[in-house]
Amino acid sequence: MLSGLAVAVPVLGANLITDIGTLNSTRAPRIFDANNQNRVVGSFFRSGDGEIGFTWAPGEEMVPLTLPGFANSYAIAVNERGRVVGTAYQGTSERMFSWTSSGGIVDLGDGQAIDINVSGVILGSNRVAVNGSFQRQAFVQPTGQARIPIGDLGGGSSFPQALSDNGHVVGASLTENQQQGRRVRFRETRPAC
Amino acid sequence: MLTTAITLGTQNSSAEDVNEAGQLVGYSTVTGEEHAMSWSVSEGVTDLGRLPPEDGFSPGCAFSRAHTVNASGRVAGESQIVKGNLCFHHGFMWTRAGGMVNLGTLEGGVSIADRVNDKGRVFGWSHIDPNNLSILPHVTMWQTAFVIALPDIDLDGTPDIGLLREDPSQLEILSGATRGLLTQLPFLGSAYIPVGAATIPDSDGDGIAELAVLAGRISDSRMLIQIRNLGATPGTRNIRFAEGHTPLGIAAVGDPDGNGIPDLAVLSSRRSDGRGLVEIRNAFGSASTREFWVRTGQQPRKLVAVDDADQNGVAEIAVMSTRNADGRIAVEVLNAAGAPNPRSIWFSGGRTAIDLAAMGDADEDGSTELALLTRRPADNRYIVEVRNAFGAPNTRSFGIRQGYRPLSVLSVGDADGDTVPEFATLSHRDYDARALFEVQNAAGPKNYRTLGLAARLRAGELILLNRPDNSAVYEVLALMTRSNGRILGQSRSVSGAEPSRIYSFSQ
Repeated sequence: MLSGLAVAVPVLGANLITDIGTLNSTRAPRIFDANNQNRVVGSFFRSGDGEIGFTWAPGEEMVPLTLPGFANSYAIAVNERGRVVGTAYQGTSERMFSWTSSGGIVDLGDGQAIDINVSGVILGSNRVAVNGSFQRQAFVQPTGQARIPIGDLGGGSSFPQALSDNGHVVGASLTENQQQGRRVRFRETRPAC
Repeated sequence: MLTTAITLGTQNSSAEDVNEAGQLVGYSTVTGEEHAMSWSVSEGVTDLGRLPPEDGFSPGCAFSRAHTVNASGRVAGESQIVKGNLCFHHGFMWTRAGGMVNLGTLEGGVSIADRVNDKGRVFGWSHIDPNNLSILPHVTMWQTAFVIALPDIDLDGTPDIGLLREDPSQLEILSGATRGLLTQLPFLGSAYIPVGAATIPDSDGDGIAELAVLAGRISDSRMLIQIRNLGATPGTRNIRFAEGHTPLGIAAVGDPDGNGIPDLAVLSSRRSDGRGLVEIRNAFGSASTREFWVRTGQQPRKLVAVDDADQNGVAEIAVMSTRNADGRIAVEVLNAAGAPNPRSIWFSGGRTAIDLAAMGDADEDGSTELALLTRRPADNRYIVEVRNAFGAPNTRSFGIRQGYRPLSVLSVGDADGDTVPEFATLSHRDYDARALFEVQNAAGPKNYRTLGLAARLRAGELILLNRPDNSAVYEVLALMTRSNGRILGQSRSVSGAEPSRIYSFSQ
């Protein structure tokens, strides 16, 4: 036997795979975000039902996230406190929602959710009709407060992409000279709330 | 203001994610291929490469993309790999410490890694049926964990079981007698990724063994062994290694230099050229390091400790590697002290290496043996090949039943009492995805048995346990996960005579 070994010493590392499951998706799910408590958010696609948002965390069943009257939804972001935000949509209508394990789903009104930070500030955008066309207008919404418009770079539309925990926003905007052209990326450096 | 164009030398690139440190990941074309890449101000552009082909050498499948990066710089994404003549996408995780690691799939052929959180958990999706891509993929979570057959930590007369994982970074010890929680010990910290671990005999006189964990530091990839007393006296000791190597595995090899101090063997891969290196050193005091380089042109895969095959009184090590030119598998065996007496054992060509285990002397010719688990891509059959580690090979081949896909092989001694050492494989069965053990003699009549494991659990690894009653009955344990993410160990006595036992670790 090996000299000096008192016991069997087998040790192996495992890449452990967990099958979280499916909501009967008809194609590959989309995974948008996961926090450090291992809560994950995204969406499935189901024939007849369209896109359905979901969230899952260890020890829980997968939760579908939908709003009444909307055939489609997706969950886009989750913060470190487990609050999920997403968007329900049908045709050109879209509504933001948030979800927590204790409070369930909450309708946050018209708009598209983009991100949520640890303070609960939500980043989103509205689709607004202006002179017969539609524009995207970015905003942030602190918990329990009114939405604060971010504005744009002169082209009428802004397209937010992420919100940091200290309130910085990044995204893109049309400029005054580029109303029909390319977007210009911006960074909003003023802490949002 | 947009200031920097980041590519791998061409005009085409895309950024997918950025972390708090400003590390950006995405992909770029390079020499006709599309490769995952990382960029930061301090390190510039890094080509993350792509996953190696399953057989180790086939060209083709020139695609990888990085999708996400976490705060500590772990990157996840997808890469094509060659399986036979086809390219399949597999999720990967990349770190500077460990390179690109294939995350595998839930039985199916394809997986994608979309997100990695700051605790190192990876989320994505995977197909679940190897024979039917029309069965749609499931959401999937990947995590790394190590189950460890511990000696008697609580001194109640029964050996115990440990689980080392990154999230949280700790060793959780369950009682072998009650299966209840004994303790949770912090280990390594979040700056390191564990690669392997080995228990070593007591060094501080409290009668309790110690645990050595091999890890790579995320920030600069430097290798480290952290040794921790598992008894009441806390304290850790760190052994640091030179830069420039990726850690692959660790094994306790007894005391081959006879100085009364247990030795550890570490296998690494030199990042500049991929050449394997085994460093054997004392776990305490003066290192007295011995170095053995794996043959050039061979990709090192796994290190195992071997009993004294050449019967010179010195324990040995075996390193499994695959030849870069054609993927052929070799195992190099050599003494862990003194004259190395190296031997290269070449196995049959056309096979993909899966696992290697050291065995007892099944054919009773005086030499310990090696069991190599491979897959033959030509007909998708799995084979365990057993041969002597010294002298005439006396090769025996054992085909695994069709429809079973083994993950690992393990020597389990002589469970059926016929004096012939046996081996066990941990497999998933295709038709019901059930995990099970297959056990058979390594020589003579096979006395083949299967031992089923709980349904609907994903098996990840197989170890031999120290028996709670310290009897000679062999018991194996598979590490598994439930769909709710909880990690379980399920053990079966290899004789099959006793009911299985479940060890449930914390969520």
